Amino acid sequence: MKILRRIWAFVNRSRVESEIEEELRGHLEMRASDNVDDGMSPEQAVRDARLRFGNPAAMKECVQAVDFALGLESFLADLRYALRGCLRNPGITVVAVLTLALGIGVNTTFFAAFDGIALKPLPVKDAQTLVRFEQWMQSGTTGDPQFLVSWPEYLFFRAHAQAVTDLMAASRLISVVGIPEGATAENGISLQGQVVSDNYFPSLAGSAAAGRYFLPEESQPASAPAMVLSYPFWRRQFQADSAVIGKTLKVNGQVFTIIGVAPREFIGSGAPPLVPDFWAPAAMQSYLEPGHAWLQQTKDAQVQLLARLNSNRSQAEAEMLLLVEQWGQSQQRTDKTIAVTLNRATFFGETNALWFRGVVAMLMGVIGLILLIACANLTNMLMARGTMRRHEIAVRRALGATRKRLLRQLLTESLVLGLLGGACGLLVSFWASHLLQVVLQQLVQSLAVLGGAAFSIDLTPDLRVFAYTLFLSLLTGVLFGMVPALQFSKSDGTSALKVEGATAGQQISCAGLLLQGLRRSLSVDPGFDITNVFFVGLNTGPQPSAEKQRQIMDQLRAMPEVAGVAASIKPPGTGTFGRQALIEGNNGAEVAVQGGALGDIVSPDYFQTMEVPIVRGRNFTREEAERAAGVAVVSAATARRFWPGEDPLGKRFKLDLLSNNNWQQFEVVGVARDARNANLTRLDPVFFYLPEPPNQFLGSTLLIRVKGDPGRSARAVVDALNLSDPRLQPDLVSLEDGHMRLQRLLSQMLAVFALLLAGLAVPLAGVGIYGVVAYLVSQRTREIGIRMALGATRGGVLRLILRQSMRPVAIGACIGFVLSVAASSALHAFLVLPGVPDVLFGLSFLDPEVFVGLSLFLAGVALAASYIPARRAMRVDPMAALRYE
Amino acid sequence: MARNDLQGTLDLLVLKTLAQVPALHGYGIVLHIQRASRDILQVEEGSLYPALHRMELSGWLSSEWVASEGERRARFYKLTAAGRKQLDAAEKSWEQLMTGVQAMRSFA
Repeated sequence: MKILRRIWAFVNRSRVESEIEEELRGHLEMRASDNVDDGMSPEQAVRDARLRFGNPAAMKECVQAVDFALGLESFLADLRYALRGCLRNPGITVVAVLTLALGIGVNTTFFAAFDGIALKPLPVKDAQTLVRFEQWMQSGTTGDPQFLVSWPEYLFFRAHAQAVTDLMAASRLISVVGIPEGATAENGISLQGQVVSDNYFPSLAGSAAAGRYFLPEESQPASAPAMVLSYPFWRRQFQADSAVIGKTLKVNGQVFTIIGVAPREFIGSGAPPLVPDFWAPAAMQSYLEPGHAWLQQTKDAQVQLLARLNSNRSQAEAEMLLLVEQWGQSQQRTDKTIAVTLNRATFFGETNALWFRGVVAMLMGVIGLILLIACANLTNMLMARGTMRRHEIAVRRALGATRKRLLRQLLTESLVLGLLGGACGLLVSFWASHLLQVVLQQLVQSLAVLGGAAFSIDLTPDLRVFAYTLFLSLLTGVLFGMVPALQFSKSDGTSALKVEGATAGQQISCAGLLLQGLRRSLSVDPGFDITNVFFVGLNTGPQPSAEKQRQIMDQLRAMPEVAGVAASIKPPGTGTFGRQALIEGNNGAEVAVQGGALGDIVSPDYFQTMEVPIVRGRNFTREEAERAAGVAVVSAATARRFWPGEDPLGKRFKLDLLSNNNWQQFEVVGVARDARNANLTRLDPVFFYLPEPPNQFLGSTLLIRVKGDPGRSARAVVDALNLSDPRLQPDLVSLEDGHMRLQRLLSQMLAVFALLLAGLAVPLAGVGIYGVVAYLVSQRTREIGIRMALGATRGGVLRLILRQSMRPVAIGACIGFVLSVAASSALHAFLVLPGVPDVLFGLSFLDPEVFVGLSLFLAGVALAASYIPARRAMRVDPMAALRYE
Repeated sequence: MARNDLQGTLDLLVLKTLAQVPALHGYGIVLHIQRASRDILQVEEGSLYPALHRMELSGWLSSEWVASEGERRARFYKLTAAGRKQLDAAEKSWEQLMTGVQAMRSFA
């Protein structure tokens, strides 16, 4: 209470001052007026009042001193004392501050990343009211499909939704080839475009950096195509020259007029957090994706929705759900939407998902451990210093300092250290998050599959990050400020050793596991050839034709550089379709496949081209494909799962291929070797290869296996494709450089991250163990001297010290390992959902190789850290030690 | 042993005053001490205020600005529960001191 009032007085200094003045003046005036009543002259009355009162200015100072100073003055004294203490032991201070700076810096950087990914609002107008539409399906489908609806569905929502305003739609980023005005076809550039609804810019973006946004009539299908450039693209391609407004840019052969440039801060609406190079009205969609016009397709989910919330959230969500249900009924949709959420729009779409939260919580725990190690180390150091200060503290108590007063002083000292560490940690994190941003930016741009689009996440620390750092600094200050409390108890440092052991054990076991995951990601066999197989998406003009496709395939097959050509819906490694499936049992009953089935529609030469052997039965024939026979090849895992111990050939299953409740029956004719089509990290649990009916154009991906030098052969293929149709503008990427790289990247990043953490944790723990053992040795010098005088050997002394230090470390390490086992099994149990990559590649912690290796490593570190002080104990001169006695 | 000094005496006088009259401003306290001690005790008026503020911070008094009709507003002080306890302790201490001094004076 008292301190609160002082703080209040300090903050409201001027008000308190004027109140004191008023009070004293009031007194003088009352006395003077009484004096006048007693018969004095007014001058005499005032003089008498002054005389009785004393010097009012001096009194005012006195009263102020009471109100402001007592508490703060002693606080300032503590602060001065703490700073002097820091300067007196510069070594300890520097080590303490650096240790804390590392611990706090790593945590702050992680928080800055989390902040940038999940908390920062999009840099759009009124970001607080902007929400993103997300639906939750009965089948439990996660990821992109939750955000996407078809264009007609969007128009339906827009016409009927009352609880939200400005319902906007934006497509995925669409890769196109653009030719700026004046350039020739050879100088085409690869661009990422996004089509948006007419209300997108007026609602989201501030005034244009140059030119203007789309006029209402420009969103009409019949109008001349126009585009708005993104700021980064404008700078990159046109050096931010305003003269570009009114010029044209040819996209897939269609002329677009550049009418404006979005402002610098407007970097798209996120999810995925990539900045498109340009935006076009939705009406122009078919120019961007010739052969795939989806504006009229009621089942082709292509756009995600953003809206402004203008009433309460749950009401708006209920209304949207109702609209989704109405639409679903009119379309006979089978997979029911069971909930709709309208969460505040952030850069990523999935930051509300359970798995995301789980991963964040886990990482936060793991990184928090680094700070814990730092605190444990500081506690050790301060305890060692504390023994030196015991004398000082005893004297101060004898001189009348209360226990509370002493604790406050010690706490001030540790808070000063904590805040200094926090300030340096903030510097560390500025640097680290900048580095992280640069690295991420380059990674994203180097990924061929993302088409070189710019990454739009901004990791610069904001107010939330500062608050978090301050919180951490205070927390650490208080945490290791409890040292004096420890000191009065009988702690001998072994509990600190246990903490060191546990955290180090936990960190290196995480790093070890993830490294093992990385090793597997590099060596894992996807089950098909990735180095010699290239994929290319074919845009065969506005009217896709199977005829044209077959023609191109035949032409390629004739080339000497080409070993095989096949077609599929999507290249392997990009995720596959997930469809409802029913497996026919022996008794005729049908069993639904949990979580849907994975599969691909492929041409018969797929298996030969991809080098996926058929291990049983046969491939489907060209003739079967042509008459769309209900036959299929399944993966070996599928056969094991549904028909264990039986012959899978001749078994039947049903698929809802178009998700329109139109079930097609298939008979298994062959079994292919297992592969990792959907996800490099796991063998596909269920995978169906279905024949591609030639008259139904479903997929436009060509898979081309080349002979000889892959690079040279690929160029020959590109030239041949260009010759056959200049509109194709093919981008030939090998499977390895494409999506496989993206998938390996995740493992690589996690492993590097874990290595960094372990690289911080192990030396920190080593220093900590060293400190504690040194402290123990220094305390037992005399005892060791006596033991040696009584005949103990040096080896015996060494064993004594090592035993004493290694036991708590071993106990701690066991605790750490157990924590890791728990964490990794939790990871496997809860976070490895269908379709989510398993970063450990199915690895379990109880892998003996990992376990033994890590234990030996940790034991080595602990031994090395305790050996140096233990050697000092061996050198104790018995005579010198005895002289003290 | 009885602890005493001038500050303690002033505290006792103020606390006792406020125990006798529920709420008073600083000037009122000066007048009351003067009147109740039959003009024997004259407080140096200015030094009363640091004492009042210190006692308030110690939680013995509470204060409130009160504006009565036709007069300027003034800060009125009241005794708190803690103040009442402090008064008991101060009175005991004072009695002990008096007894001690009496004993000294009558020692033959």
